[in-house]
Amino acid sequence: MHQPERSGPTGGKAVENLRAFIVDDDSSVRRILVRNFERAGFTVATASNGQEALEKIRRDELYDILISDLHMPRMDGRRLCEALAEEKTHLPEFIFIVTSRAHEDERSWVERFDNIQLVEKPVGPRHLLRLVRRRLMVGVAGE
Amino acid sequence: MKTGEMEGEMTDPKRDDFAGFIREGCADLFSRLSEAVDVPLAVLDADGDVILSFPRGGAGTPAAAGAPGSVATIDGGEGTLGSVVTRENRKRLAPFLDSLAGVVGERYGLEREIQRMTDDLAQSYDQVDLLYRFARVIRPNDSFEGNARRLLEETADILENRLLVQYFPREDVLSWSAGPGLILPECLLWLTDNPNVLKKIYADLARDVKPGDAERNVRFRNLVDSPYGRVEYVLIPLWVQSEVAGYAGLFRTLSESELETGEIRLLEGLVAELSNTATTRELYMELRQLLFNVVRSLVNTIEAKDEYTRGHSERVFRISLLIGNRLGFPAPRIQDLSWAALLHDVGKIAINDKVLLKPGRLTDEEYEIVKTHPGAGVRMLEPIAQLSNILPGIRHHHERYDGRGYPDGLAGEKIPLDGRIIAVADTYDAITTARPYRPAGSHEKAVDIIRSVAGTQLDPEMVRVFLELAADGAVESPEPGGAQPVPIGGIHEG
Repeated sequence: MHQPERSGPTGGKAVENLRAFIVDDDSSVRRILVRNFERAGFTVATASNGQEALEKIRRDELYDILISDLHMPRMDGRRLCEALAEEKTHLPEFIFIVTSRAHEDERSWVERFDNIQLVEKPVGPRHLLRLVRRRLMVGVAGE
Repeated sequence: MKTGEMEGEMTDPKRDDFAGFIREGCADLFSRLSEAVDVPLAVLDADGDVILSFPRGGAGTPAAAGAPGSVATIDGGEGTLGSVVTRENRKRLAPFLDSLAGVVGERYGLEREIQRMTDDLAQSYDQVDLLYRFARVIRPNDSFEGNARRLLEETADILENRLLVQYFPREDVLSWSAGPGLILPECLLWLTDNPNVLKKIYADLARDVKPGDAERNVRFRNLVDSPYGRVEYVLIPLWVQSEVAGYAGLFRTLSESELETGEIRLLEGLVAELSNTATTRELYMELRQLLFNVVRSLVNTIEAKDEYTRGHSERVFRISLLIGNRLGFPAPRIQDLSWAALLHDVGKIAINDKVLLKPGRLTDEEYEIVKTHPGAGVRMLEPIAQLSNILPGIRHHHERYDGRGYPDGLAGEKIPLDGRIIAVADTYDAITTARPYRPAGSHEKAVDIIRSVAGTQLDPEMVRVFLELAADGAVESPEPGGAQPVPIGGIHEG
């Protein structure tokens, strides 16, 4: 499995060979996340809605991280997760769902998955990267 | 920013440098044009090196020095980036190349502009995100240290753990340094292990800090030598009211990634929040101290009217405070004890002056009246919710350790601790101040008596602490001869 570099003591930032998929209908949000995740060493692909994401993820290899907005046209983040979970073969290792307000019903569907975390807006790219790194480190440590 | 769904819009990787932009963003365009107009084309960088040439594997470098042909400079709005060249020298090729170079330059400029805006927007998201989380962890009732710790926890690993905050409220003692539960980089560990280096950095900065800087975002960027190589730092003064009360900084060795503008902006956000929190806390403490001093002044004024009680509460407060501090009371307990000691006799206001100021021994009946003053004090202060913690100390300062005191006859540990402390201080002051019917006892006499009533009248543990303080010379009144006679002592003789 991948071995993300530890960030911290040396200030090292690179997370080599990790693949992230970013889904958001707002192009500026995609741009920001692509730029910051690429700088941090991720290989990044994007889509502007769940349907497009599902098609691309089906076609491509496995992604380590999926970061998706919740509310999007055509297919929202929840249905994207459910579709990926059903197909299993392309389910990313961990999924962050970004949402403006975590309603109770929005939480409840997430709780059925053990690899999805809700992140409340506003979330800056640095914070999101920190969450992703922590999650990947936890994954490695737990193996 | 309009949402565009152009293919490849987001997937173009790093276009920061011009060559990358040409290779990854323009290769297709040049390839097709070269084919369509049947002209070999090449794009050179500003140094004249070939970035791309078409047709691929074709004529090689077309613009060797002196070769005939056309050249059009690519300008992205910020100087020459490179050029489009062809070796062919056909008519009307020059304007074609000019247009092409213009389009490429413009597109590159736009791309850069979008990247800058994206980075600005990302920084704003980071700041809003951080401020939002700050708002959730600030607790108005908590100490500055508690709040600062939580603020740092929200910030530190976003800033790659390169953050160090030092806060020194009074003397230039480094009372607290940050990094709660964090793995600090080696250069930061070295700095925290060598406070003299930091002190020197701070001292150098202090010379450059001007009072008006509190209003502006002043930051200092410099280098310092360490065993891990040169360390670059950005330091921002932490202002509390109009004083520099500490510094917050980012540190890195030169081999680590650079300190980014976005990181420094987050540092500024943290410093602003820390300054606000510390200032609010300080103002609150000042107000509380003011309130205490006002009450203290009132008590002193009331007592001053009567030569027998003059200064009594102040002295009992002072000695109680010594004992509380020696017992290692935390700040909130010290506050309560101070208020209780200062106001322990406030109930005497309710007692008739004829009894209170009687120039002789009291009858049993009069003494019963005097014994109502602890309860009276509690009743007076009960309506003040903020003082509820001090009521036990006031009610029980005349209890005796053997249970023979008043008003409730509590014994031993059942007597609230503040009551047992005030009782010792009260006893000392009673003995060392004159009464109408006897002169003031000496300090030595008071110490002897207190030692002799340990375990009967007074809590032996509190007496032990008191005797330690007496041995240190801390008990004796700072103003010798200031002791004034009081009609009723804290100790009931017989």
